[in-house]
Amino acid sequence: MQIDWFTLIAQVVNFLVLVWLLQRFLYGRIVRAMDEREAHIASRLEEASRLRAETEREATEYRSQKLALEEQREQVLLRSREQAEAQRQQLIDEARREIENMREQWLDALQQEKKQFFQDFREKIGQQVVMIVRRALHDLASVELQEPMTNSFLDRLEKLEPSGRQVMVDAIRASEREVEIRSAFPMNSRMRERIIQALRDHLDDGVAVRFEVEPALGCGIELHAHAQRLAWNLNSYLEGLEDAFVQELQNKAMEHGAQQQSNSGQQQWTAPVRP
Amino acid sequence: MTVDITPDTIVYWQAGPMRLSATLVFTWLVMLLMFLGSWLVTRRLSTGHKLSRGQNLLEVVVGAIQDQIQSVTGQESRRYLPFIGTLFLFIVVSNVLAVVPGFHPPTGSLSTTAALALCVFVAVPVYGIAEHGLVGHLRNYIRPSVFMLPFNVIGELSRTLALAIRLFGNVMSGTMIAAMLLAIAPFFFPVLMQALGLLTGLIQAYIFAILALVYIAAATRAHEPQGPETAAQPGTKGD
Repeated sequence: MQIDWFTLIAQVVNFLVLVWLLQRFLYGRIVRAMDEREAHIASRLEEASRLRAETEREATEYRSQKLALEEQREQVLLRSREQAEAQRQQLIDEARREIENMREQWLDALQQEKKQFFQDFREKIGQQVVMIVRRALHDLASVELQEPMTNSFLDRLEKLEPSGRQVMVDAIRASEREVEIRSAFPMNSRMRERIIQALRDHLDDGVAVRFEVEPALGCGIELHAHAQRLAWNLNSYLEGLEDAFVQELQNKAMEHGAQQQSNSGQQQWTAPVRP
Repeated sequence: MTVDITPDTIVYWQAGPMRLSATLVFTWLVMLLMFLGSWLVTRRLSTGHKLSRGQNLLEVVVGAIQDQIQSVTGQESRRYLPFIGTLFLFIVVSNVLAVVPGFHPPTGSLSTTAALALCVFVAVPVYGIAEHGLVGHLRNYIRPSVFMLPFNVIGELSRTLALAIRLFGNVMSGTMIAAMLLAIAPFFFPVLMQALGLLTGLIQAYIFAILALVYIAAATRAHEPQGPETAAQPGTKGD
């Protein structure tokens, strides 16, 4: 066992070469890579902590924003509820008003209709009554009744006002002294004579008379000269009767309607009025 | 039975004083392996998350060496890493490859261990002078008093000698025991001794590197010598 000096020196050189080689190819590179990785990791950690801080800040911000939004939402909801309630109340009021209007219109229309109905009814009744009377008189009218009617006509002729008489005289003259006497039934000669005589006495002594039968006339006698007419018949009475009858019925109906309206006004909500 | 105590005795070629012994050849082989391994791994290094297995292994090894240097010296590890790391890795690779049949570990040669010890012997004052300057370093030899100068010088020489002899003795004995057991009991026992040899080889590499580190650290931290000296005690007790 001895030291070989050549080997020793060679080994020293070898060792130094190895140190250089490893420094060149191992330690330098590995340490550099490790340092770079450490720096990388440190930067990543720093980035992560920065991001975390940022995230926390954002989370805080979002939380506060969320709270604010919720509060705002509550306010909006509350406001909406209030508006909806107000609108609902308004709509209900409008609907009530509308219903009230409609009800009033309907009541008015009903009243109008009722009035009209009663009006028509009254007129109908009046017309019916007059028609019945007219028919009754028509049925009763006869040749025998002709004479009193002629008397009445002649009486009327006699009692004619001077102005009226003058009008009739003018009319007779305008018709070349020819007048026409209309009656529902044919007259006998005696009555004809009386009429001619009366006309000549009171109106014109040269008057010519023509007698016509007009069944539509019913009861009565008419004198036609030019555009003038002198008549006595039941129609004029009956027309007056109809007018008076209708007037009287209307007065009664109006009294009854006023009374009923005051009654219905008191019962406005409790019992609707039925036609 | 002939046993080659040291690979120095195996000479492949000789020209005058130049002898191409197995020590040199296997040293070059180890150097080539280490160089190739380093080059293959470090030619494509990643600084991201994905690491190749080789890079991971080398990073673990280099990181562990750096941690050891840091914990023993308490100083920045970069300046000691190439020297101490190469010592450790060379001895480890040589010793571990001893299990390969036909391989003669260069550390089993006294010439090699003496060369390594010589390097340490030179590195101590180099680091010391680099740290404290020539005067500052030489002043260490007369501490605590000038009378300690001869003892310090003797200590310096003897520890270098001990460093060389310790490694050589351990490796050589491991190889010899394996060879002898192979002759006596060819089954089972040699395997056990080889495994033991692996362990011893690793421990010896560790001891050699740590002791070198302690000597260098003692030179660079001259003003507080008790720290490194006490740290060296457990390492020296092992053998």
